[in-house]
Amino acid sequence: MKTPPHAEKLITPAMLVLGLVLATVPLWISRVGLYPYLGVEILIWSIYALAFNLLLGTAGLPSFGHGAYFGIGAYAFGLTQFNVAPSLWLCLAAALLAGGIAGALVALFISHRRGIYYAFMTIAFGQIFWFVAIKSHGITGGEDGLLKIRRLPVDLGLVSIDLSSNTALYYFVLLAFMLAAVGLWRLTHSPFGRVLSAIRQSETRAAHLGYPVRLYKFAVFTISAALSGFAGGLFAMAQNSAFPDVMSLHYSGYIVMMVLVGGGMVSFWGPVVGVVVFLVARDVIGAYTTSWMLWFGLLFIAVVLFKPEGIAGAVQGWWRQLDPRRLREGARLSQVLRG
Amino acid sequence: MTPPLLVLERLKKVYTRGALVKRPTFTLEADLEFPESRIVGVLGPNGAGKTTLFEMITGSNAPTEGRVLVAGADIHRVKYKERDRLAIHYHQSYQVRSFSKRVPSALLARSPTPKPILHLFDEPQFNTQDGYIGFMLDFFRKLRAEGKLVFVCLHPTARYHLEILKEIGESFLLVHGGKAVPKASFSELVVDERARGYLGPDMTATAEALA
Amino acid sequence: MAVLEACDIHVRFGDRVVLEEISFAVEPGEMHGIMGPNGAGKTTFFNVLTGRVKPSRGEVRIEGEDVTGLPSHRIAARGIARSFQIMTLFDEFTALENVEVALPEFRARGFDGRRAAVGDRGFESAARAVLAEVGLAEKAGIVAKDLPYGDRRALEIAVALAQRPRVLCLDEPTSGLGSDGRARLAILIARLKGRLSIVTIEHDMEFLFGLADRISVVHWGQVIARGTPAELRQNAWVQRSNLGRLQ
Repeated sequence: MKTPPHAEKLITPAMLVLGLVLATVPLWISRVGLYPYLGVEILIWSIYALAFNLLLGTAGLPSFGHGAYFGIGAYAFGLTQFNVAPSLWLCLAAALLAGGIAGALVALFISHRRGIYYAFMTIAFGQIFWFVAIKSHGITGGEDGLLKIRRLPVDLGLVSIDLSSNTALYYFVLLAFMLAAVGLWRLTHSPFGRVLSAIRQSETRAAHLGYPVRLYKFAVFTISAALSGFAGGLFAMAQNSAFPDVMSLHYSGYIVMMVLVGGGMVSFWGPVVGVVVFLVARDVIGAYTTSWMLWFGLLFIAVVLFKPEGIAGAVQGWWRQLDPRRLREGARLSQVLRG
Repeated sequence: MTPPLLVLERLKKVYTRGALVKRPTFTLEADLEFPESRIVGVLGPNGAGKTTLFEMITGSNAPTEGRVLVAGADIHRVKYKERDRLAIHYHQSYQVRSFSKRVPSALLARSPTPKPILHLFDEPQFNTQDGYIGFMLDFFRKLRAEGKLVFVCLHPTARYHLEILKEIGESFLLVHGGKAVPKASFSELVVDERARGYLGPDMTATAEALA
Repeated sequence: MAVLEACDIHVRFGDRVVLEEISFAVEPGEMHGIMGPNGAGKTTFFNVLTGRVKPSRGEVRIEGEDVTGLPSHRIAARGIARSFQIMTLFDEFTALENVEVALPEFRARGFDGRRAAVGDRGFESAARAVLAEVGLAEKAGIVAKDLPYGDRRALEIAVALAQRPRVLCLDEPTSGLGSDGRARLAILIARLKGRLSIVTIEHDMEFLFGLADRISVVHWGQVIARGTPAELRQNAWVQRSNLGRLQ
């Protein structure tokens, strides 16, 4: 990933535009034949995808069992609500923490690995978490899931905002998404992010520059897992339940597909593009055929074969093709002005 | 009294062919003693057994009969890991360390010396262009000065090979016709009929001019 | 006291002995050359010095302190910088970014995720100074993989210099360079010499004999000769070789 323009800014123009566009979504989404809950889903999965891409796109660490942390966050949200206190802040903090702790635990065992071995270890641990979730019937409800998770109100002391409507929830999740995006944008372009990117390009070189590579790999995995857990907590709240299926191998595969199709390897926003395409495709193609995954799978193969940098990469490519023409025009214009 | 650096005690290696009636295809015999440090030039035609001899001396190839005593210790009765503390066999640029491990290491003795006292250089690659020859010869001399026994095996095909042998060899060993024969000096080597036959007329003339 | 020292280094990979016994010391400000035929163990020796390979026996010391077996990032942090025989730059980074990430002050902030690395004046001016030193001031904004070969080699040295090392270990810095590139590198190294210690593995004898204070000749995993270029040249066989004809 090359350093994009505005990398030094906390909030970029692109972010503002995106935020504004997203804020209008509830006003028109029903008119284009979709529904407000899809917007909620897209935002939650976008947080998850951005967190995942911190690991894959920035640090170059392939995690194929990331659903585990998303799922753990969802369970943590529900269980805290049931057993500790029904406070939104507490439950979300628990989701973040649970994802982070599980991630740290796994990172402890895998951070000295590289490449395919690293990937295999993440799958193995992901499967362990999934299996435990299914088997611990007493805690997670097993395959029946954890039901009746409530959408807790946003308690601001004096006022309390109810989130039970999808539109209210949408705006709450949008706020969370914007915060996560700002935080991750900054993190990606901070010294920490630069070191992660260096590690992706050459672990050996980074080590010889004095960077304790394992510690960085540990840290980024933990952060990514924590944020995935946070997204999972929001997801539990959105769908009023938590199920083990999001922890399964093929759900873990979905996030990889979303990020790669969207172009997470070349663009910070690629994962968001991927999520939108994936979820809209699910609903639109899914309306015509039950085997929508087949069609999306074909799209995925096409992207990997013909445009491995994903949709964001393709857009960047077109942009660059346009660029010289505009430059030439600019030069001509300045000549005219000077002449 | 310190034991001699190297004793080849009625050493014999026979390779045979045939499952029932064994016909020897190769024999090599040596009965020699090298009491103190020196540089020994080793010569002989291909297949005469120079490398086999070096392998037996460094403990990587077990003799059919006889013993190899390095600093008084039978190297074939020393732990595999510690044999390179007695003798090292360099083949061209690399060290050769492959042992057929028939006896468990635990049953074998420890090396009496911490660092190798025998250095055997099997056809080191000499090239007059890069100047390394000078450094290599100095290295052989340095080992000699440190009390080590140095074997340098060469297959003379050019004048400078003979110059090298003449310059550093204090004595020689001619491996030919199944025997390792010691030669006290370069001139003694040059008059030997087998050596002359092996060197060929051109090289013999060059060697005579040098001697 | 020697800045960097190795005592009786022995390395074996399985049954293969790569380093038999190497001892070596670099004095402050010295340029120490290492030469030897292929397969002599030069790069393995570098790997031992920089913590990539742990020796089976022997000790590595930095200013008298035993650092044998420490991981490479700890050794790097103690002031030993190295370049690689096969170039390893961060190809997606610009020249400037490559150098910035190598700065000790950047490393000290490596876990800082709250501020932007881009546009940091401190990092940038320090990195630009290093780039200027190797003649890449004009190319700071170019992505490393788009730089021509000679500039990439220069950038590698800039990355090593940015670490403000006490010892600079260069593994065949001239490989792949034409005569212009070599001349440029020689001028750079001559300028650096004295300010910091340099250890160079090099096949180009002319380059090495012209610059090094001392040279160790490595063969069979051992140092077979060591001395100043003048001392090594006195050898009669060296006189006869191409090396003798250089002068």
